[in-house]
Amino acid sequence: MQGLILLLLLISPVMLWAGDEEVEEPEDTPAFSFSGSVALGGGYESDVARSQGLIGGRRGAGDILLDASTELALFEETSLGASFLYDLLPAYGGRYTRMVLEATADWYRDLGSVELDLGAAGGLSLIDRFAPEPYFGSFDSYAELVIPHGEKLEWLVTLTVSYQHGLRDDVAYLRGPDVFVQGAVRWYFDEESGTLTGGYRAGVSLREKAGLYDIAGLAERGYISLTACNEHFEQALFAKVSYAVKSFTFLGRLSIIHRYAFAKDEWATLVALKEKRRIELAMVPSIEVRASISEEFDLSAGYDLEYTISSLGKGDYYDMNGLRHTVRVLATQRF
Amino acid sequence: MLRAWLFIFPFFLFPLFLYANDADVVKPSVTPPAPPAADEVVLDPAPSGAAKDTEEKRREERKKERKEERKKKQQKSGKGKCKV
Repeated sequence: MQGLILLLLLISPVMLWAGDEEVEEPEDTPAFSFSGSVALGGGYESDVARSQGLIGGRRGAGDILLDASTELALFEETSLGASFLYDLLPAYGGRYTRMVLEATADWYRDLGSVELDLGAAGGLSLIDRFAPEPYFGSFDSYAELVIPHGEKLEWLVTLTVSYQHGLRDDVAYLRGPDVFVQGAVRWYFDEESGTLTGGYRAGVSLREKAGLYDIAGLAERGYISLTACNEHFEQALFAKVSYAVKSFTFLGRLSIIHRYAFAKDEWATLVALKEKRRIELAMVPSIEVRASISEEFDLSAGYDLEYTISSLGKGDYYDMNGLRHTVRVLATQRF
Repeated sequence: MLRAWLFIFPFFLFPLFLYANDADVVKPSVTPPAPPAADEVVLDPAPSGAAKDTEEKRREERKKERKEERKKKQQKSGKGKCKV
């Protein structure tokens, strides 16, 4: 943790220095360029209790979000970035307020008939509004191959590898890697105003098993043991359409996600022992509208719906079925 | 669940439809261009400024998308036990 914070502190002055360099650089294409953004917004999620792993009925919660990020581009091919996210969640006494520090690096190369993009990000999540403590450490990396096909069509092949490490005791079981491969096609159907993207993603998510005390409220409800498998195969079909009219951009997305656990969950009460494999189908449509007030400032409003059909339902240790609504508004200033 | 998949899967076949139509690929013109004169030096056409701008813009959009996806994931995973 200290190492990451130190890295961010070291990167910041380099970026400020690079920003000055850009002003003094006489060439048309500067070797360095500096950019960034600050976003302020808020939202509401209708079923925050489920995402917290808390039992006791659906419970919604609002949040206020501050997201600041900076980026230094070097010779148009490499970029280094740092960001800070503060998400204030008043529910549960502010215990789930999050702070995320992140450092990123991207490298891009035009290889003629294809373009290659490589990148990595390391992040640290802190939690608890009043006494922040390390919650998650994460590492994300990707390799993307862009294959233009004519002027209006491009193919994208992406490999993502990530690792999440739960740092606090209550999330210590959330440790493990994700590996996904994605293929997509993007059609620029109206110059640069309209795009349609569709694709397929498949991969595995491998986390350690969850136990009885990893889900709040289970022991109080009479369960005496739980072994929940957190290793699953996941595949998804997705589509996205984007269309810009004057200063407004409209986005629509749809993902259909299928998850299949590698082993059965086992749980017991004093009177029964049960086991069941967790299989889920989730449909996630979303819409978003963005308004560009100026070249540097925009407003956005979005709505996400998540409908999950799960093999774990009523009568099991946890009912995974249900709807979740999320709304969010955001104002972003770039520099 | 299988029936649901059978219903929705055809909607995601449009990439194949696009590929089969191949409408956006630049096809050679019907009339071949006149051969260059003997003393004319022909160079490979360099990408125009507009094409370079488009490429740059698309690249920026992809970068922005990846960042947004990462932010969404960050907001979920930092939030707590998004998975059991």
